Amino acid sequence: MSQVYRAVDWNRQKLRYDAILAAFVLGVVGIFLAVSALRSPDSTAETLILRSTSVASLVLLHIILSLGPLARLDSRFLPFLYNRRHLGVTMFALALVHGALAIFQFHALGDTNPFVSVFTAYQSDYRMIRDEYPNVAHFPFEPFGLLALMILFLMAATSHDFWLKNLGASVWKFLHSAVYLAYSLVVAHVVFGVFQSERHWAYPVALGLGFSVVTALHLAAARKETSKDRLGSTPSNDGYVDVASVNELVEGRGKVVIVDDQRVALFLHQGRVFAISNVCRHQGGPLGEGRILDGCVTCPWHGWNYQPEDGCSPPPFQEVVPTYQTRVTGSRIAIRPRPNALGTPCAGSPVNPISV
Amino acid sequence: MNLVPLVEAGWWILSGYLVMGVVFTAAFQIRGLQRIDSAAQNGGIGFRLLITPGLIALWPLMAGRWLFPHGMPSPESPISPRRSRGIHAVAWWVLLVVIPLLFVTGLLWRPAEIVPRRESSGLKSSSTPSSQP
Repeated sequence: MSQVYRAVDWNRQKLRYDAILAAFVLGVVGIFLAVSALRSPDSTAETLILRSTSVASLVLLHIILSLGPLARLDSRFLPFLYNRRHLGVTMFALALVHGALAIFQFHALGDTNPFVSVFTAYQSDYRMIRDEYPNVAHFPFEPFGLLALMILFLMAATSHDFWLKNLGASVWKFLHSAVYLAYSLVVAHVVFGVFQSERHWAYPVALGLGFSVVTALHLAAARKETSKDRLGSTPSNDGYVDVASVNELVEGRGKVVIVDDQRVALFLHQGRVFAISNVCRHQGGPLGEGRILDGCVTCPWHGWNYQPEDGCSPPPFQEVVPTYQTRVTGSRIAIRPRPNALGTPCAGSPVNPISV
Repeated sequence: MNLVPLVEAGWWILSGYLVMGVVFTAAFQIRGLQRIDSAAQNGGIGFRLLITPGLIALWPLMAGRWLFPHGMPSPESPISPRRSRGIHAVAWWVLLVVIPLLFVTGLLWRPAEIVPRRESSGLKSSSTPSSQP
């Protein structure tokens, strides 16, 4: 959330996040180098860098894929989501070092275009049926890695908020969903590459475990989200929909309710109930899982702010989310499903002190 | 099937696309950036450098937004969580099939012994990989 774009909007949390990230990457690379030195002391420096960057990148990719569902399942993981883009760019940088070194070491020293070589080097060498049984030992695995690297490049190159704003949120989100395609390509790259040249059981077990954990987290988070959407209510004769009890709200905290198939964020702020869209204008973060800080609803993902009275970001920012009319009767809260026009002031409904 | 001419053609198309991207990016950084986004007007050199690779790669999209501002869909549309959840669901069901299939193929059909890669006859010898990374 910035009026003027900067390369990186540094703050204390981001610096701390990046320091932890750097320490983690150095730790993974260090451990891998130590194990490699023990297992194969004859390996060259290029080979060790090539392998350690690929391992660190693959570990980060699994962490990146896990953070979204983890934050949906347990709010204690939300701080890890805050600067996930730096995690993604770091992962791409490691993959780029791996890819560049691999291309230089295996494809750039001849007189064939390295790009052409990556796609065709194993072409004449590969036979699916060898010695009368299927064999994938020489299956061309490098194109999978290069295609994955291209997708990761597009994601890293468009990670700045400039791109989110100017591509449009839907296009940007769609583009970044390509991480799943990149993940499949990376797995194919590893399965037809490393699995064929290394026979230690740890390689398939580690990758299989990583995939299982990431999949289980995504399925669990999807199940939780789907069950939330089923909690809809039907409107009464005057068009308002009963959604919650005042007792379910805590001052300054949000609650997500479903109205007319839409998620709405309810907030109790200074004795009044406000309702705004649950979808942050930034990356679609769940505003109802945030809290009110300095009088503004604060998105739990990246800290974007909105005033509960009109859904507008505080000046000079210009983002707006829709607000909804609320009505408190006794201890029950009702909402009119149709949102107000963007920016319309809405005083919120006062709560009877006895009902709280 | 000889893939070399096909890949070479792809390389030339990609190179041409990227050269056009470089030319576009130079013009866009000078004239277009502040027109499509007022917040970029006072963006520093770090910001401009940071968006340059993306501009080179996605130049047709930004060219459309610069040259035909009214003909392009509005960038202001918010993310639809429902659509987003739908994409996630489809992606994970596909991955649940594809990844285990890759594992089965790669592990069941690998030879008992590690087979060293042979010299590839289609390329000059010095550019042929001698071992796997």
